[in-house]
Amino acid sequence: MCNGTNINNELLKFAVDGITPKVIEHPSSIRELSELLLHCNQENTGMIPFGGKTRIHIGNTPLNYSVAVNLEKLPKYINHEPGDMTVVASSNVIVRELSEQLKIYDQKLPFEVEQSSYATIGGSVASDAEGRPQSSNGGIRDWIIGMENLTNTGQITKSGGRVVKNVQGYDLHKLHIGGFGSLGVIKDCAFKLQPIAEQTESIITTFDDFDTVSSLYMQIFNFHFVPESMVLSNKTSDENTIRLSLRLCGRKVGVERQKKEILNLFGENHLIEPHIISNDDQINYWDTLPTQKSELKIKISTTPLNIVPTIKFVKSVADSKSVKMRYLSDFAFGNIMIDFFDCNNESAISIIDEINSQINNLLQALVIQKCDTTLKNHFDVFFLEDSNKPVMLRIKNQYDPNRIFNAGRFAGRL
Amino acid sequence: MIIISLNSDKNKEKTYSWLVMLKIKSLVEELAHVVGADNVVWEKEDLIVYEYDGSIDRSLPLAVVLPGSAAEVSKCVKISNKYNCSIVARGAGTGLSGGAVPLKQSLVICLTRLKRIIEVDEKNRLSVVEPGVVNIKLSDAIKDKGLFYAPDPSSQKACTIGGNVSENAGGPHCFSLGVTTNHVLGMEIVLSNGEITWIGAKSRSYTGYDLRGAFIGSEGTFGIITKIIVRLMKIPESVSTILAAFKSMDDASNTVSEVISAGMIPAALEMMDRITIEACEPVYNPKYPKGSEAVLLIEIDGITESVKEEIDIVKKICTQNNSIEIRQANNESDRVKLWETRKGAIGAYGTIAPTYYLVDGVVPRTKLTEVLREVKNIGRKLEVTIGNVFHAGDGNIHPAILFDGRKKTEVNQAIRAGGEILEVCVKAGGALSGEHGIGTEKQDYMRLVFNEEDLRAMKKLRAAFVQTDKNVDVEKFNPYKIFPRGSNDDEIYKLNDPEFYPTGGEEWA
Repeated sequence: MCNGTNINNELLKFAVDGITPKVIEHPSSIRELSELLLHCNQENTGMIPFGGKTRIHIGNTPLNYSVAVNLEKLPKYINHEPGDMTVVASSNVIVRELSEQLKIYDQKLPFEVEQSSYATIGGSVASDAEGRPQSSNGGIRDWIIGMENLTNTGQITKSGGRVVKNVQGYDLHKLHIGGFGSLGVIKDCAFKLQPIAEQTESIITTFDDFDTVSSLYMQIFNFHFVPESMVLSNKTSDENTIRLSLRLCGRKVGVERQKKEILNLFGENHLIEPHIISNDDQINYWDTLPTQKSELKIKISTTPLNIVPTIKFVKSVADSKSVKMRYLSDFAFGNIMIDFFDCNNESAISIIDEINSQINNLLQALVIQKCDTTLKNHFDVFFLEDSNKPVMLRIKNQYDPNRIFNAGRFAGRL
Repeated sequence: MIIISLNSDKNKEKTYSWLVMLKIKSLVEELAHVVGADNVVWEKEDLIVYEYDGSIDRSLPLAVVLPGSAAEVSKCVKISNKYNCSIVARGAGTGLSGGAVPLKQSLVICLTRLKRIIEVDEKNRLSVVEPGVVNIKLSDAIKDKGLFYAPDPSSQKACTIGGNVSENAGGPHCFSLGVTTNHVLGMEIVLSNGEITWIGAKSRSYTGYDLRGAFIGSEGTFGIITKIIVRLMKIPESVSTILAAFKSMDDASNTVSEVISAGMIPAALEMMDRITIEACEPVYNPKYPKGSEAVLLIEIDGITESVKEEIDIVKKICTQNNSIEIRQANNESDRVKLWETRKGAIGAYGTIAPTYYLVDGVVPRTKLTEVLREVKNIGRKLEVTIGNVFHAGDGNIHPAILFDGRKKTEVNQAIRAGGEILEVCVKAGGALSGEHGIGTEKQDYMRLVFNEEDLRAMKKLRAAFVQTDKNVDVEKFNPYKIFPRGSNDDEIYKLNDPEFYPTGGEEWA
């Protein structure tokens, strides 16, 4: 067992929804972590594993939180096989560190996460980080080929493999991706990689009304190519102008061709000259695009065709409460991130209730990613559908019967 | 009304007791009441069709029922529970790992009547299909909309999408586009208590555990799929295919590595060895150059300008690696010709031996050359002929062990060679299966990769999906598959049941 820290200030750094742990553990080896988990399980002691803390705010209020487990001091490793285009990274590797390592060989993770200088691989995977919009590549789920985890008894288990294609036994790792650490602690993950494209350029243009942009992006979606990113957003919550951002990548000749077709389409529709950016400018643009801090943030998942109607609906709800909002939709992937500003709890509850009423109609899923702690008493922030609850409960019971992993924080307050 | 004669010689052959026969009679009558008498199969000569799939194992089912809707599937599951009867769901039976072989005298629920394409949502690029839809029929049905369904197993003209989901099937074009799990958004499933529920959604993101991801590739051991939401892809603007012949496997393997190192992800990257080339020559007459030891099929797709540029790079790499002939197809009919031998290669092995056993290991791409050499050595040592036709791009090798299935010694040698090849793959850092699944074929090799703790963790997932009671045990669906026999949990999982007999060895005697 490793020594814990119990200095109050330190404990506050690991508070979740206002609840501070009794102790912080800093295991420096897998063996220490394993012993800690076994101990927690034997004593029914609730614990929360910590990576870069970039998404720790997502989840319901913890029910049993005594131990914060800081994974920072665990052995850190990156096993990159450039010829196989695979990499295995320990969960405490910072995403940007890994990206830099891969870049040496002109390779990249096919997904990007926000705050990559702080976010860890384990945290990003556990929270299925939606990160920077990537319409064509899919999400983290699509690129993980295997994983090792520590169970409630401290055992290491693996699933999947280290090669780009494998079907051997059950894909247990799928449960840990987006499982918010509720079934175990991720030890390491194996990823498929992609080559860095020869050329990347971005086209940004603005619109005054949703109908025009809706028609245009459906036409772009029907091209023979799909831009790597297709994003609809308003620049700030104070602005009604709709911004369409497209990121194109591939071989130089391919990017030129994509650009030409998109610009022709804009020309035919008499749009103002779009802004084209490349190189570092466009990297900075996409890096800062998702950032705008708010106290209430939700994620909606829907189909591409329902993106605009959903944004319009949410906007009408927000307007009716005089609440400002900023949206950012990853078009082909179907995610919409919405930040609300100057929104008191009463308005927030009312807005969320109205949006929730549209599940299975306009939208398929809703998650409150950030909100005032008191709001978490009103909602399961994951809005888990009743039909899936029994199987999910049985899964939780199988892997964490004593409720030590992130107890109460996951969907259905599991 | 079904009439089962308890005195029938046919049924006596099954060596069932009178009591069991009465139970079967009652079960069959109840099933017939739900699906109609024409959709229940119970006589031995009819059941034989359902005792095997594309693997070498066999086992006769108790009966076969062909429901016509999810509601009927649900009722059949409930009826089977009354009789404490396990279930094996089956599609076209093209699987190669024994996944559809009904062990434990199971009731087979054959889903081939569920073959409707329920919805094609062109704008959202998705489709809702029933599990019995034949893979290629979906792509055919949406071709005029400029769309296709990406996973394309070699058996795509016969295999069903439900079967593909159960096995997490791949195919030549999964190199760039991913396997089945990357193209399935959600499913309607029937659970062990007969409950019908949805997992996943029409959107790509959803809340809670990824039940969809866990279910795909579970080889029919969690429940029965009755509807599937699949993603559809846009047909690429341009496709170009080249075939390159080489005088050595090493040259072909080096070409594969260099193409990938050049930053390209071809749509397909396939390889055939000399034995396969020789098998194909009299059947398809492709006229490969004399002395070819390996042939590569490389397909590039995408934006026309990019395809043209990448094909030129690929041709240059082939030439640098001593390719003795390069053929290029830029139109559909030429492409079909180039693919003909690859897609028909397995059938052509019939010119060499009457039976084949297709192994499905995966190795790191960078170790292809050494693993293929090892495969050759195994063939030499065990005196079996091994052809190789495989997905070189993702390191998914398919050594085809060619033998005479009527000769027991040859069967045993083939099984032994298959085992040794899998050991080589795992030793090289690879996997037991790339796209065929574990089934009965590889269950005893699972310990090469997974320890008892890994296997126990997997069994817990099965126990979470399958709700047990006095009539339903955790092996309700597709019993005695995936997990190795003789594991610590055998008592719970009944893997030492004397009725358990993958029939590979005995039946071929």
